[in-house]
Amino acid sequence: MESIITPSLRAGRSVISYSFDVLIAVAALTVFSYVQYGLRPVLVVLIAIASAVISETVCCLLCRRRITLGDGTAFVTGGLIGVLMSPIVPIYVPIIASAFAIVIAKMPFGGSGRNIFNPAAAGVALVTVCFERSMSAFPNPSQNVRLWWDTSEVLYQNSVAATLKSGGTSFETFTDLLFGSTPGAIGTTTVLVLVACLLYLRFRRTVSTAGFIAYMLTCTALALLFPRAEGDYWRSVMLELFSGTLLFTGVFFLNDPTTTPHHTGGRVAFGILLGGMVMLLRHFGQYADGACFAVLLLNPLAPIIDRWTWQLHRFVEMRWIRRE
Amino acid sequence: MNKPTASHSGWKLTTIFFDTALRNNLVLVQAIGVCPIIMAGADLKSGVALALCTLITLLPLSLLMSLIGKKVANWLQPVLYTGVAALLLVGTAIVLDKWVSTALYAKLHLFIPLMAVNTIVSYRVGGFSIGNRPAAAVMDALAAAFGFGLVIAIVSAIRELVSTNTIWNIPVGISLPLPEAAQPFAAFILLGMMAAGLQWLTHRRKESDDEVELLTADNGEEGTENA
Amino acid sequence: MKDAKRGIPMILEKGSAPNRPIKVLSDVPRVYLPLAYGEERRCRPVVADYDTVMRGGLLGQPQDAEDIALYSTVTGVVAGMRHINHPLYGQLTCSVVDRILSEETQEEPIPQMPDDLSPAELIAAAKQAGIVDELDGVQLHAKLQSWADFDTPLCLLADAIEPEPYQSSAYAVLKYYGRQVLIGLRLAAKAAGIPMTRILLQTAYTRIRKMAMQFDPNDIHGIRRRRYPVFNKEPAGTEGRCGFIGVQACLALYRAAAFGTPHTDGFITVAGDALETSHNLQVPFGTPIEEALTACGIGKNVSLLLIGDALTGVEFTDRSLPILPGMTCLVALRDPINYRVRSCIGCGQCAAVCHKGLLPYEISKRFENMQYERLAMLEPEDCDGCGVCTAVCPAHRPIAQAVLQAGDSAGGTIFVDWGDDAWNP
Repeated sequence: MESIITPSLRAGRSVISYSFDVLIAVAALTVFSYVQYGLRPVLVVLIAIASAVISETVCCLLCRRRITLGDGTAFVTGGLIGVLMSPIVPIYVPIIASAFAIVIAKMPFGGSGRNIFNPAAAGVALVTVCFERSMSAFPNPSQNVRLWWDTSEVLYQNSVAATLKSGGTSFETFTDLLFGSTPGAIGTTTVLVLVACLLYLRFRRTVSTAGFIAYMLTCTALALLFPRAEGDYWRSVMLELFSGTLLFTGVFFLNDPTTTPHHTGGRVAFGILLGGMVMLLRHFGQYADGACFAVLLLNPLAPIIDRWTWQLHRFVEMRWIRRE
Repeated sequence: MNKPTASHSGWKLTTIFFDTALRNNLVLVQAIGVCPIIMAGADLKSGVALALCTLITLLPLSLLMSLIGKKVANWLQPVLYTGVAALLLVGTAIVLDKWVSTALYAKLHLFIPLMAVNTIVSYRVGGFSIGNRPAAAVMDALAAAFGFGLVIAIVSAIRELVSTNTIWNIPVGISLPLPEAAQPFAAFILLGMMAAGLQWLTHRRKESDDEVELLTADNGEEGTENA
Repeated sequence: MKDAKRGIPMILEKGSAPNRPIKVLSDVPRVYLPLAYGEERRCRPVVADYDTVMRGGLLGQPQDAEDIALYSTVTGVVAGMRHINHPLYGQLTCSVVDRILSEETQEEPIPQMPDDLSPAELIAAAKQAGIVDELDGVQLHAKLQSWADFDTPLCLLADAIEPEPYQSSAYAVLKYYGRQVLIGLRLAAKAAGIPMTRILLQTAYTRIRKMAMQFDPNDIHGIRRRRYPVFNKEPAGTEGRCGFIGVQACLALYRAAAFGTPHTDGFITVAGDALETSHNLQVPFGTPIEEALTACGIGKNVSLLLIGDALTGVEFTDRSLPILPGMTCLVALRDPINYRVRSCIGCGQCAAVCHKGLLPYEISKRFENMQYERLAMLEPEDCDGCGVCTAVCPAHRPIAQAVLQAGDSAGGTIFVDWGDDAWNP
């Protein structure tokens, strides 16, 4: 007779606490953006979240399934989309991105936990393709932007990643990048807060840093080998690593539990591939920052990478470690 | 790839048609011939033109290969049907360019020759027609062209409608163009949705079929007991 | 390697049971003794209905000569047969014995000198006494015989590790019958021809460490690891060739060799937050669980009863089930578990804690999706069912159950060769 194991003792956390941790990180990024630009970024993030939540509810109602808002993944998707928007983005852009993320990239695959592509990356990729101008127009830092529709008198400026792409000269110092006084999307400019988010998530054991380290090392190596910025090599590395969505991708998309490998070796392999792909798209892609596309391209490979690295690990363990 | 041949040989013609055109749709179930749909199927005219090209290639080829396919050596078969397909398509291209529409030909000039080496041809002609009776082969070619044409027509119509708000170059009266719908990713998403929809329909039919089978099986058992 | 991080940190909340003396529960009104475990281990009843049978008297003769006999565990009257569906052992055919309230004058038997017995005599004594090892439910004589015949281990370990939250019966047995257990262990080693013996303890459990003083330090192999599950139990220098034997089986072997008494009593921990007191009980086999629970005082809100400890226990509801060899713990819990099961988010926690290094989420996903053809290469049969993956799962999925079922099926029936046959009619 088969025994049925039902541990009546739960040692772990619940799904919602994972989502909650990421939401706290998103909130930290939004607050920092609020200090710089005023209430507008907060509005963008909240609208993105609301759109994702409404889309998910409608999808669940249409499919006559139990509403799965409770695990919080819809909030996370909306929040991540929100912080990847420019502070002066038209309001319909985050709405479309969030709705696309949930309706096309998440629910048809079976909802949270079964999606192949990272929904937030898919939503951002869509609006990057469709509304290229809105997505690449960033306001001057430390300039208060108006809350509602009219954003016409804002001074536009190219982001650091766009400057790198076009081969122009950038004057940002390390301190500028650290405290986010560079033009860019809501949640991607402040390196200090991003690193703090990573440390917080690591401390809460929501993410594992092995993949992140591999990713950053790959990016550093490629930036050293193929520098794009003027000046010495380390300036090039600094600008590459701390500009655009590269760091953000490493902290959030690379550690999304569903669409990346779960085995540590798999995470490392995924991080290396993602780093290579991001740098490749930066050099040869159409857009200033191809991190979302890189994530989408590699997401379907995650299960295969996971299995292969696991089998390699088992093989090594059997062959060399168990033999002694 | 060419394996499911033998099991089809005894089928009825209507069964072949429904199986090839709908239940095992080339594009939606077997993911063959996706490339022309994604790259060229951005407006209804090109879509229909490509579907007709497929029909023109498949129909004579299937007949030919079902008649003489067995008499040709195995290694020569792909060479034969690819060559004949290329000849047919060259003719089609000339006709299209000279007498139908030069603009359409300019849009499709890359994809029409590519049809010769398309997997649809090698899969249906090489996999089905050789070794089947001519009537079945013709029916299968019709069904394959119909299935492919249906999908490409739906996809290209939707993409044309959304991207330029026209159908068959005739404006439909709304004005909200989304030019991104002409990009490849939109076709991928549409195809994915349609594939999922077809799977859902097949599952539903299969479930009802299973119920019927169960019922008949029960009746059969009772019958034997009574006897 | 990374093994130090495997498993989950375990809070040892043994309750008050280890501090109390073992409570002897002898006045049970009725016991159920299994004549047949499903189709296996069938015994032929030798006592007719309404006949009297003594405690330790023969109740069933085995049909297979290699099998052990069934002894009555109380003095009483045979009152017929009953079929019981047991969650651990399946379909049982039990002989019912009603206890007679008679004055049992138990004379203290004079111990023989068990050291004089030869290995063959010791194995015969184990078989005669009907000893079943509580670790794995295997008959002790068969275990010893197989060790003696081939693949003799280098070291015999009496396993007193209780890493789960409530169980403390092995500790209690060691505390009160320590010397006898040690002699029994040495007898077992002698019977199987094993040169080395150790008592296996988890020394983080400080009370056990104190108690270990009564032994020679050479007799103890302690593991300093406060995590569940405990693995790498083998002491250094044994090359992993170790045999494991239960503490109760050691005690029973000593008694069988010294007094010739059959194995009629078991030790069981009855614990859990739904009981007034927790106890280690000495009960005759076949005692209904109801009796053991009553002896410890059932509280008001019992929502969950488990055979076994909180992590690997099996849920049951029928309180008239008999206590049989192999059961060492009963847990009654107050709070119902009504976690909502969500879909897997792929956090990888289960893979991180699995001490076998498996990918439990992948196995359970494939098993649920019926992708059997790719299941085998994930080696689900390696799973030993410790249940840690279910315990840590943030989505509260029953992963361990799926992995176990996948492991069961990996060797057997559902692995039809799907292969390419569908394409080659």
